[in-house]
Amino acid sequence: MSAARWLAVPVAIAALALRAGSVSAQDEKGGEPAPPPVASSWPSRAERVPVKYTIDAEYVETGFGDGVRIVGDETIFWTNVSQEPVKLVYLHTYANAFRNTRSTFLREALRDGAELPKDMKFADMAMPRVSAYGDELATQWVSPDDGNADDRTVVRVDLRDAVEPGATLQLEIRFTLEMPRVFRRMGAHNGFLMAAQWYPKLGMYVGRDSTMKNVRDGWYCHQYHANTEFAADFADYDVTLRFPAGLKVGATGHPQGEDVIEEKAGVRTARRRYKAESVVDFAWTASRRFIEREYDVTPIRPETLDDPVSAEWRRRKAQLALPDADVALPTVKVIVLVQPEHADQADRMAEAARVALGSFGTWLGPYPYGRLTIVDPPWASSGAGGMEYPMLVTAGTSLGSPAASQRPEGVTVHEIGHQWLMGLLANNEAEEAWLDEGINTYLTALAMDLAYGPASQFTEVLGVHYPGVQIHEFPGLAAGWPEALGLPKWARPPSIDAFRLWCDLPPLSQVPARRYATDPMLPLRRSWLRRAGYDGMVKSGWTFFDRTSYAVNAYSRPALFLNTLRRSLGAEFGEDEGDRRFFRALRSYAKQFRFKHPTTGDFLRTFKEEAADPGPAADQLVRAATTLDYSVESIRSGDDPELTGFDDKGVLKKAREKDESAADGTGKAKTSIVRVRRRGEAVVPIDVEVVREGGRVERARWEAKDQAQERWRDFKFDGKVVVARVDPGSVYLQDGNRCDNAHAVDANARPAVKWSVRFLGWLENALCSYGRFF
Amino acid sequence: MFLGEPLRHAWRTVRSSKRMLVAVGVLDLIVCLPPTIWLLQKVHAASAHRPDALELARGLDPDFFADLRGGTAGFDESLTTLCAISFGLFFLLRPFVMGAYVGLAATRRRVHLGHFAKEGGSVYWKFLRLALLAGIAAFLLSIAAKPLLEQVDEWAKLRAEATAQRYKGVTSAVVIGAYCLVAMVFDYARVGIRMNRRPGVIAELGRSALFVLQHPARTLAMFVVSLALEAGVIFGCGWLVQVADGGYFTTSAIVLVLLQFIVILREAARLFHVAGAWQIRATEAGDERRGAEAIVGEPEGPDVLRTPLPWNVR
Repeated sequence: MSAARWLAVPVAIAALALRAGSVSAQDEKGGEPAPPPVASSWPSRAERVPVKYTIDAEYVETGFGDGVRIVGDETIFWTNVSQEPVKLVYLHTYANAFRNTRSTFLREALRDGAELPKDMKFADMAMPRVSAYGDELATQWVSPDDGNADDRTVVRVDLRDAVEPGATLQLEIRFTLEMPRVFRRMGAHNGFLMAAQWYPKLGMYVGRDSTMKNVRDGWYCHQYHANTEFAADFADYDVTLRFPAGLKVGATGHPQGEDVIEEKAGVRTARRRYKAESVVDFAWTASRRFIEREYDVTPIRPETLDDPVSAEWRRRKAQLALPDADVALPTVKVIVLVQPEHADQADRMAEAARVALGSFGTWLGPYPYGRLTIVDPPWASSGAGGMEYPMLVTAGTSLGSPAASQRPEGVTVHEIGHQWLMGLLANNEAEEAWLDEGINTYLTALAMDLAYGPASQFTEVLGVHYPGVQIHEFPGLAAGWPEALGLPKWARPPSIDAFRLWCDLPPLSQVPARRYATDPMLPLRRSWLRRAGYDGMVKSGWTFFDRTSYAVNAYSRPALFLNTLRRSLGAEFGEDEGDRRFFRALRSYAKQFRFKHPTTGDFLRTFKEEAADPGPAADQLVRAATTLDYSVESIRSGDDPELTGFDDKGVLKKAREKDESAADGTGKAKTSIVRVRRRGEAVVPIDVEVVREGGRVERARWEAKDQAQERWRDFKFDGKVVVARVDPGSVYLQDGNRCDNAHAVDANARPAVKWSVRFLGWLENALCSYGRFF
Repeated sequence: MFLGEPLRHAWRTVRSSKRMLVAVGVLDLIVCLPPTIWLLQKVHAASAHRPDALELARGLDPDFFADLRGGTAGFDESLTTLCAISFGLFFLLRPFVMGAYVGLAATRRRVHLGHFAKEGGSVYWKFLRLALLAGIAAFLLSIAAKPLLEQVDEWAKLRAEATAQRYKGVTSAVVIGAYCLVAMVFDYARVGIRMNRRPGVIAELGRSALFVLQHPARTLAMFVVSLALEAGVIFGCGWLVQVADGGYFTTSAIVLVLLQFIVILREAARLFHVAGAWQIRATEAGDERRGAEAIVGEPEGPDVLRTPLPWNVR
């Protein structure tokens, strides 16, 4: 073989790798290609799209700096797909949630401790004209959820004529929206615009006979609450945006052709048209500071062995015996709109997009839209970050965020995950938030663990990221003394970063920490513990105990429930078969309800059909507000006194009879008794594992049916037990206290000594720091 | 050299006070024991019988601490209260220690522990009042700095993140500078009270503020040197703590010794500043006799501590 031929091989491999490479930056911006065909058995658009929006909107800068007004003409085509005539429609005017502090959203947010920015600018969405077929229609603000007369996030429109089944209503709306200062999700600030929930949006017609909660006149149209996201029908959008030339704009949908530049009174305006099909919302963003990067992202590299995402794709393909057409994941054009100071993180966001598109594509089917925009909001508008819209997500990062912190990666993967869980499986986010947030949280944790491993924790002070966490935060001294003393707000000393640096002394007091050691579910468990047992998972978003309880029950608890499903399948059928059933059920759910509106019942039914019956445990872990806690109370071996448990009055009964486990005179125990106790309210079948002297492992099970009448049970094992564990497979991470889940006969004082010495070091040095004044 | 003599005096004072510094270090340790022992008990109860106890000792397991906090009713409140008790003890003992430090700076000869204690006790009540005033001053300063910090925050929000961080950094430095100035004035007040034996803490505070303003270069330089020494100790030894930290009794013992060593060195840096301040004040006040004492090392005449002074009698 000649030298040229030898050279040709690596060159060819390199070329192949480049072509198949996951993320390749594009230097040139071409015209927008049509969405790539998804050569698979997965549908790429909804079978039934009852709503079409045509919107012509203009971005108007008002005043100096922040003022942004959107003036729009909107036409809504709504087809009545029900079997009954409809005489009125309900519209969401979400933006009015930021109209004043009396709106339901801000009342609830402020009640939960949110603070408005000092330079808060309120919104106002007005609809000067609502008409159908040339007739102006009467509108009325209504508050179906809480009767708050000051809330203007839902409007009722009475029609002149009923819309007969199968007929289409054409509703024309002229609207203006004064954008609020960015507080949560939407708004404008300092040249940045996040136009989400920016147009009057039709509620969902579910029929007068619907059993869905909070339905009025057959419409599901909830108010905008602090703890709710959204619910909408799939729709087609044709949106024309007019904005000052020079603004960088990103939006849901595919741009149609090049921008048209117009000049009026010396002002250059660009006009761009977007089309999006089968999506549940339309959002857009604009800023002059954005740096725009485009990538062609190929999620899977079938020929690459060391890519964990591709390896996962191969594993599931083989495990579920899927045909090629069913697992094909198309290339997606990813546009990253990033702040200049975060430009060095754009590639990381694109790679995170690849991880998300590959992982979620493997588990839930291919991403059908072909285009995805990732927005990095400026730091002062971080409230707009971490949010999902069809074909557009907002992420969030900070200056110099280290790779090990997985700061832009985690949020990027999670929000892109919503393209499936919310975007394609469009559950009602206001009523069953767990179906999108919870499942997404679980799958995000899996994807992040797969691609990146555990994140390291950092402490950020004055823009510097210190690797590690303050030791005092863990034993419970994170809260400040002014709050503990209940000082009024004016008397609370401000948090001064440099002062914190001096008192907490990172070199002395910080300890390196990862978010988890081996189990990616553990951070979610920590979150769950904050409001364990307060609420069930399936509730209207605004009826939770507080915002934390909403977050716990929408995000972490459902993720733990999915973890339980998967691990219990593994425990019952073996790890491989359990995984196969789990992912088969997940894919089946995703396929069956793609471009539909699944419910909790749909999810549980699919799992029952495809994996195994989650049974009554699912009710306890999903619907009930219960705590779960099992513990190993004691291990008694040999001639230990026999305890027979508690009598009816709760008194410990002792030595009722001589136990046969007593020592046989050789000094070796014949029998050991392990006492297991159920401390929580939830009743689930629980495994007990013991390690006998010599290392032999044995298992027993405490069935749920046996627990109906008893709160504790003694398990007898031959020989001397040295370690006992309940739930050894960590199936129920909902357990309220895992410190007592395992018990070793031998005590070990090392952790106590180690952490109290570190704590002592922090305290002593913190006092020395304060001592500079005294 | 404008700092030569104060630095020499400070160094000599620290060198001759090693045992006292160790004693103060032990005192600091004792003060911190209540919350530490309580935490030790709680961690032991939760971890001792766990099969993964060694892993828990080796690395931080946030889950373990979450369980620890969740499993004990009122955990946070109890620990915070115990820490507040430690802080209270520290606050009450600090005037004694500071009085002793000033006494060490003034005496300029090797002293015994008894003398050290006597020095601390002689000015305790005055120094306690001074400590109270210092606490109030620090609190008021933080309240006063609040509008500035909030305004800068607002300005920063209109800038890019990098610029905003610079704004915040500079503001933070200014506020910390103000704190340092206050701390410095209080140290000179302590020196002044012991040096002049005049009644009136607030009057002395005013005189000291005036003194610092009249001699900004020397006083500030001395403070910066002592602060730099302290920061050097923290950063120089901090990495040793991180390296030595492990999951075994031996490593914990090493860490404990290291941390104690750091505390003693930080106390030494504090004494260094007090001694330097004494020398600056003595020299600048034109008290040649006291200045000369610093060189000769042995004071002449009766020990002022032996003379009963009305404002020291309690």
